[in-house]
Amino acid sequence: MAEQQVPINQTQFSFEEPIFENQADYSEPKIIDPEQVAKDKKKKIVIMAIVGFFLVLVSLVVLLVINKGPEAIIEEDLPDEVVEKDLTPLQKRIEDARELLDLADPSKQDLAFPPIDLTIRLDKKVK
Amino acid sequence: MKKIFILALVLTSVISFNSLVFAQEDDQTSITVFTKQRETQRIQDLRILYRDQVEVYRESEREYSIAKTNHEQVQTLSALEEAVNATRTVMNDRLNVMITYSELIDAVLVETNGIELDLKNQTHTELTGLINLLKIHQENVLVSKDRQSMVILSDEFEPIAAGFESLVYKTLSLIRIGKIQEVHDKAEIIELDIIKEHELEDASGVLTSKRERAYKEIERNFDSINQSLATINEDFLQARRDGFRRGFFENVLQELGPIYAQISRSLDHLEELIKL
Repeated sequence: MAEQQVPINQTQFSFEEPIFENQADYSEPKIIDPEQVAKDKKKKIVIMAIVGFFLVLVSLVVLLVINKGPEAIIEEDLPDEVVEKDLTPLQKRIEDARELLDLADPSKQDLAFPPIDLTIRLDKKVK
Repeated sequence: MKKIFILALVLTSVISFNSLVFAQEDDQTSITVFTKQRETQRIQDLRILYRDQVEVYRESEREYSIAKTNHEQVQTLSALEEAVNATRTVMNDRLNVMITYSELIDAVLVETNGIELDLKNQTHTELTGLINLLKIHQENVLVSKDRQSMVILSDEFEPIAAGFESLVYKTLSLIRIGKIQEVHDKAEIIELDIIKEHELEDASGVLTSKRERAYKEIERNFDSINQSLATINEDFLQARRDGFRRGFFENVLQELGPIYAQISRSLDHLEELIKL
């Protein structure tokens, strides 16, 4: 007679062990009650409804957040003393000049000509 | 019951995790960029007003196009009435945009240093005149009711529009040149102050000659910038005679590009010079 092999790897053994399942039931066999079966069915439906509700709720939250998108970064003004680093007066002046230069960057479009049609007229011009 | 409890626990954890992740993302997206206050409250208010008025104008321009097309197709009296009303509305909204924009560039012009004072005052006066002209024209637009008056208003608007375009490009050119000039002027003064500070120090001969070489290089760069700015100012005077057009303004921006890079380099050099 071959001896039953005992698993050597206990970790694997514990993983393979069925989770949330009842251990072997050695009690007396239960008598199936039709009322109990109906109750269990109802219970299952209630559980499924709760799960469904939660899933819909989670999906809604996710959708709302996605649709909201990242909020526009608003540039706020802050008093000068908070922005300033530990600089000497001359370095501060250079830093200030740099900021001004950044605002003067000719490649940056600022105050562009208004996007308006200057030729609007109801009737064609009579020469 | 146990199953329900476990399921509720799992779902609650999922929701809490989601909230946590999104809360973290919210924190990341709401990081604010702090900048120094550079614009007056009036300029900021005008910018907002201008943006809103452009939106209103776009909508009324769309309605005007529809009404005009409809009138051309059906040629009924009611379609004509609608077209006249839509034209009056779009003309009024366009004038709102033009007036606010003129006020905005005027406010920026006044706040911009580095512009020759006479030129600044003259342009400011011209802009004030233009704004008044636009307001008078707007009053006429608001009281006009029929097709004929629309034709007259459109004819009257043509020279106003030409003047507006010219003055806008003149002002924009002045603002752009002035902003660059202002930084350049500041850089030149900073260099002089650094030299003064160095003179007070008891530096070695090697360090002094090193600084002398640095001064020369920085001043060579300044001379080059001054020459380029003088060329732009000459072009500006020429344009005063020939009229300011979009092409002129675009040329100014092109010419300012290398000057901008040179000033940036000058500031780098000055920063190095402080540490010498």
